[in-house]
Amino acid sequence: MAAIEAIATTYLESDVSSVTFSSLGSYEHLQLRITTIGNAYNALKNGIFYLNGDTTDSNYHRHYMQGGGSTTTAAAATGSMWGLNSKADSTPTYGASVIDILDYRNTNKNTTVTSSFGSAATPNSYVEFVSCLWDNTAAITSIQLLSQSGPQSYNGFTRGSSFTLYGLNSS
Amino acid sequence: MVLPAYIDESTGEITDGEAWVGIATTTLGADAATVTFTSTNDGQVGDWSQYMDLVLVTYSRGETVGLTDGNKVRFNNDTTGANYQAQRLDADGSGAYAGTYDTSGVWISAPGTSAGANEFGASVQHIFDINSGKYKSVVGSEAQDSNGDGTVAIRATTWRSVAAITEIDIVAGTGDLLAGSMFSLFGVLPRMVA
Repeated sequence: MAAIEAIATTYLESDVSSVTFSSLGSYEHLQLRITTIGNAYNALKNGIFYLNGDTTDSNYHRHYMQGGGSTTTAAAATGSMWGLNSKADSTPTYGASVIDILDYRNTNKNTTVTSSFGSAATPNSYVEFVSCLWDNTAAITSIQLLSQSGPQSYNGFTRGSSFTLYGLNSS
Repeated sequence: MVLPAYIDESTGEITDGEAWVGIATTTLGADAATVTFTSTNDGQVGDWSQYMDLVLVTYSRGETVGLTDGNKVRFNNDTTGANYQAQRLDADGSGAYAGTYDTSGVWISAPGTSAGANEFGASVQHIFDINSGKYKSVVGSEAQDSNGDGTVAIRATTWRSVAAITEIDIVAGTGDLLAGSMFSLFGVLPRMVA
């Protein structure tokens, strides 16, 4: 078996409300590689994910460090998080993320997800590294991705956004 | 056309499901001004038109006098400073810093001539959706440690071009990339499914 296999690519030909991967295969780890513009006109560059259809934000916890313009931020909060661009930017720049989901089939571990994100855009540039804990030991069977336009306000993604899920094996 | 080794010529099926394809590695035996990777445009492993993303791994050192050399990665021979827009977050052992800047290539901090002997800076650069009509997004992380000096950083760079990427040039901030520097390029395949 190959060390890294492409499971599926979703390339948006029109705007959508969310993107879901529900055939995750039997690998050791998963990686998502994403370029996105979220479907909202604010400066917030957050995406969220829900695992196994668990949409209770309080079941997810995150830490992150971020550089936005000349400001550095390190914080913790409730809810999942990954990075994307929004329609608020004047340059048509798609934010880029690499999201790693380790040991996702293990039923004895809560799942920790890491993501690296970058978007050099005008006027809102960010780079960030995020850790998210899903407080659940279930094996992951689906991943739903959304963008965020405000507290408890979620949107989808614009045409041209791309999402590819990879499976990783050590042997 | 001769098909790449991972495609069965009789059936057209992909026989190797490896999504990351090693394209090329260059290790400098002597100082060099530029390291260049070029798409072969022949349907083989080196033809970048088949890939979704590229990943460039660098382990390098440059000739800039001082502790740090700003290696630069340029696409399609574009050296225009305003065409590479960047955001950084870095730390030097004393604090964390952030900033935006325009530069003439994707910036990678690597040791300069004042760094200790045999020290090289490590980075991984993810170059996204290289064949799209989008501006190209690059997200990279780097480590340049000189036993008492050095930095770690993550950076985002937007190359303001909608052209497909067909050439990558890596140069030192000043002078040459130094002997021993190593650059590996990988192609990342998509999987289009209904």
